[in-house]
Amino acid sequence: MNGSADTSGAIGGKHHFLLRRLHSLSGILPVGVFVIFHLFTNAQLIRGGEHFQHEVDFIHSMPALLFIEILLWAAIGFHAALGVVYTFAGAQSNTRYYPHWDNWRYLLQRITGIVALVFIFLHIATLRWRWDLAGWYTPFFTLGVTPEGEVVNLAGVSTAVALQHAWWVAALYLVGVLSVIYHWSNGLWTAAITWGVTITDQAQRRWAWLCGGLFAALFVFSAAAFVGALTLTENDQNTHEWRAYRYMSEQRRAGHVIDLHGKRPGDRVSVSALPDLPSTENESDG
Amino acid sequence: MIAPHPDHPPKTFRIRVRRQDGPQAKSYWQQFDVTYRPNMNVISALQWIAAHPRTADGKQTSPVVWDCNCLEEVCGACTMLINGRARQACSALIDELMEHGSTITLEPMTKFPVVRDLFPDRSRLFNDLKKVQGWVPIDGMLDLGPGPNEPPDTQEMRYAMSRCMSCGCCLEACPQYTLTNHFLGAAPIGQARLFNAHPTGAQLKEERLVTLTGPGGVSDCGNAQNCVKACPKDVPLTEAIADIGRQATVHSIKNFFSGG
Amino acid sequence: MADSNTRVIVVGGGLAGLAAAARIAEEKVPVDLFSVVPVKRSHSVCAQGGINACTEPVRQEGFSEWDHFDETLYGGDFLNHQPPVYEMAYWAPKVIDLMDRMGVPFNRTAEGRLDRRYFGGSLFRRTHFSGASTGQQLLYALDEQVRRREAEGLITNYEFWEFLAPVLDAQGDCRGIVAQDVRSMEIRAFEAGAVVMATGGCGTIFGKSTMSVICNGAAAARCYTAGAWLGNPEMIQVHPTAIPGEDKCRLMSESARGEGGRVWVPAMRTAGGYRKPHPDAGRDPRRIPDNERWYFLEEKYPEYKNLVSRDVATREIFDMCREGYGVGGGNMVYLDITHLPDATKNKLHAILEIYEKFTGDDPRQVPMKIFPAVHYSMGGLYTVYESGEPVKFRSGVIDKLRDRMPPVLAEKLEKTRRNEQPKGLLPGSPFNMMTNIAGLYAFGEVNYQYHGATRLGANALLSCIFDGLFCGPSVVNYLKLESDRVDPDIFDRAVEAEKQKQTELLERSGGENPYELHEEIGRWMTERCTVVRDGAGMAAPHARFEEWKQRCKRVSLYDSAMWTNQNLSYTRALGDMIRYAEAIVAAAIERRESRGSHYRTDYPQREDAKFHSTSVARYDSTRDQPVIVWEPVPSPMVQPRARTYGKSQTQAAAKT
Repeated sequence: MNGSADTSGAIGGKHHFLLRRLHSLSGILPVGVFVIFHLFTNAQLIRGGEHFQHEVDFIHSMPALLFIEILLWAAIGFHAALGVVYTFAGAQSNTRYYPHWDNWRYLLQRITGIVALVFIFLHIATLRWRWDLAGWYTPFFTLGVTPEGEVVNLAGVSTAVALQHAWWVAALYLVGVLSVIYHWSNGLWTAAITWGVTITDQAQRRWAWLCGGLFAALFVFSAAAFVGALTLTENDQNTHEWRAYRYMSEQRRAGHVIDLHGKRPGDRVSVSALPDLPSTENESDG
Repeated sequence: MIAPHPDHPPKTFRIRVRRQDGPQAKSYWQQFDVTYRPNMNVISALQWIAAHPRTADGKQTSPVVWDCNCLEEVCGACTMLINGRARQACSALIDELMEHGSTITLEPMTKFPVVRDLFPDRSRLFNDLKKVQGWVPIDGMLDLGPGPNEPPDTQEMRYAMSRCMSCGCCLEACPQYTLTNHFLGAAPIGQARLFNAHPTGAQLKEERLVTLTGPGGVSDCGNAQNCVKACPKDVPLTEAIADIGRQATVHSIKNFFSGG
Repeated sequence: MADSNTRVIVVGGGLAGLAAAARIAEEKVPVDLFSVVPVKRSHSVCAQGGINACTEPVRQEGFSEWDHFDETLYGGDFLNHQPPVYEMAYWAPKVIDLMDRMGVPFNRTAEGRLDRRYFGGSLFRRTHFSGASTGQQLLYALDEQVRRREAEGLITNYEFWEFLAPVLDAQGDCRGIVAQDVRSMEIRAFEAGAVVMATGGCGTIFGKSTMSVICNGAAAARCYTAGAWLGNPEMIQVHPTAIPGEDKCRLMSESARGEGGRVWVPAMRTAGGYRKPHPDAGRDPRRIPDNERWYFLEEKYPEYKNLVSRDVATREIFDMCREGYGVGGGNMVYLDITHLPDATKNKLHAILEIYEKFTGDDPRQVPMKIFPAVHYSMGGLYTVYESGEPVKFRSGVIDKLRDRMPPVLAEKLEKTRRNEQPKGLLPGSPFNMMTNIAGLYAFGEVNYQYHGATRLGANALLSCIFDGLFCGPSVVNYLKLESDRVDPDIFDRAVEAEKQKQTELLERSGGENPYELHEEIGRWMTERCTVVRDGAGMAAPHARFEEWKQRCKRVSLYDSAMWTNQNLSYTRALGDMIRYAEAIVAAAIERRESRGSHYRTDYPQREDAKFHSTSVARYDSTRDQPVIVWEPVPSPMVQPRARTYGKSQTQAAAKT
């Protein structure tokens, strides 16, 4: 956010307006709707791992999942790329002399956008792509298998492991999730101005209450997920799931991909017979 | 009246001025100790400095250069940064400023090139008024009868927009408007709304919207909404931006389907 | 400069200058518009109340153009030339229509038609308005039209250029101007077929006034010292209601009274029914009971009440304060709008906001404290015009140019004169509002026409726009007159002369401070030469002005930079202001009568036999002094009558 660049006026040339509006649209619709779903799903964690698993399985059972995913990726990529350009090309934050709430809101929108982008990247990298970032290794599995060969649900435990990995990961999630929901609800508020839905002061204020409400609701969902994930610790009832998770992640770290395609919880697989398969990534993904 | 420090009025107060000898010159600071009189404003302090151009450490210097005219906050000329914020020097009362500290800082606007000292070159703003075709395209100045009837509430809206005095406070306060980019900013967008709302002015509506949906147009607004708070005339600038946003939306959808 | 004869220079970007520029450009004549500030910041923005016109609904309420004409003469104490006023009054509705078409947000009635308010000097609601910032709104509309012509390439806008001098040829005709870019300090000559001065008033000669800082009269003074005459320079309007300030006096529009605001002072009744100042001077005005408020204007002028002509209200307020009735015993009276309904207060929002910002008091809750301040110059550059009947002028400019008129134009004008027998101005006559210098015009406040000895509220905006609209075609017609090829050397010489003056100015030394000298002159002028004048107070002007001129020559500049040197511009203007001030004082001394704004305690009566005449100030360059000569004002339509505004004689007597 410095004044050095001289490009924001020229970005997109004659498609400038279209790009700006698509930027707005891509943030609200695909990304936003996905975020709502995602947070709602996660919130089920507070009701226990089974409810969460149910929601995760529901998502995985959705038709055209691949298409939805591609759309999402495209939208996020587009929104993020333009957002970064808009943020860094020639805007000058000035909350020092204009310390109005709206001005902070404006600055926060840009900060949370960047934070959200970093967060989403780390979130995907560590969970879905199962990267090992200098020991930060918390891969996500929907299904897993115990060393004894019992197939179990792992969505809940995977999430719990991820958040319980270290205090700073929990903190990162807190900041990241807050950024995402702030960015979206504020974006929804400003989009109504941008598109010319809310014109008068009163309309903008009314819409601000709604967006604020939405922020609060999403925050409650996220808080529920947090509490759920942080309180889901190993106990007598779920110890086999924890063991399955540890087994799965060790295998995965060692490069062994266990094929549980078509398996259901309660099934048994012969663990010793498991061959080392190339990574076909058909473990059940989150 | 604002209480002029009822008990102990100060003998002098200090003005810090960021000075600049010309557009290319480097800026530097000078301080002046101005003799206090009740009911002073920043203009009268600058007038005092003009008559006594001696810095606080006793050095003879040139009078500070600044732009002003009406001195009643209606011409917009004397806009400068007073303690960091853009406002008119005429309506900046010394007593009020001194409630926040005994030194008052004056700087030229930062979003426009400096001519000299506190005197900015705001020609970009006036050029942008040309870009948005801020006028009513009347046939001519012959006597062609009365203008169109107008409901009082439309008049009220247009009057509110029309009080914009092109001072540039909204642009100075806007984080999206910079010295080097091409954003039109709130003031010209407000003028576009003003003229789009007039029956004859609306004849140029589509042309204005072409400019407003181009680079530097309304979509560059970042909704920080500083403009409306910085505006000394309470021009409903954020409403104007939203309204032009709506017009732009409709305009581009219409164009999309009509191939315009 | 080959096409110079087809170009027009307009100096000044206020209402008159913009109206002229736009109107002339509409005739496809290119215009070079010079303004020392961006035109949108011109002083016209300070006009608040409104613009008078007998539009149709006003007529149906019993008013007429004739009444407007007559009121203006009555207000001006019959010092106005009648044909221009007549033309202006009958044209006024067209001006309103045009400004309305340009999109000026005039206040509307519920049905969406033009709303009107009461204003000083009239018993009819004939003042059209846009909130309480009508001048600003009118100026913006014209500014927008000019910007449009600028975008089309017909008008070239020289903003931040200061007029230094007219360029005259060997015959004394105006062929262009010398101007200076106040940023780069470049001095240049500009050639033109005609030059229109629209440079406004001269209020800052009086130090603090309601005028903007550029209204110093320097441009008019530069024409005056170059040979143009001044008409009625002594006629200076002091507005009754302004907020006294450290740097200027801020206008509190007559519209406050037009909408029902009342002027009063605290007073108490003695046993005999007489009044005297209340002993407790510092009371909160809100707690003062109604029977201890003296609504002196309402009592003395039962018909016009608070809406008497400005000079009358000013003198009454002035007298009240001198007699000790002022708020807190000082120089202020109350202007009270607190009793008005909110909707009315909203119409006054712009001025109430100014009051609140500059004093910290909310005038919706607390009565405003106001005092008169110098506001308008009725006098200015002397101009001539043509009407149905020939008018005798001291200036021979019309006779001098008559032969140069092409036959086609002469015949056309003659036909109009014959067929229409205009009582007002002859439309298109190239002499309308021409100064005594051929090719040099004066429009707007700098033109001495229309307002006589006092201007009625809401007539200024009208006269400024009217000048530009009506006389713009006159300027265009002047371009058709035959003229010799201009000798290009006159421009070089004029530039050289200005450069020399500037060098001399920069080299002055002697330690005199221009700002302090200005303050001193302003104080003297305000004390001796505004509301109340007398021969003794203004005595021995020659010695005093000589001293000021000498001191001005000893001014030391603190700034020698040749880039945006405001110190230099200010000091140069000061020298010109002294010349203008001298003309004001000279005429004020010689006008041994009281008329309108010019009130002499030693000559309290109007003397039509001697002074129903324009004071014409000519500059004697050898003695560096004004010479006042008198030109009788003809009364072709209305004979002068006593001007009392129905002052109640019994109350006036009771007061003393």
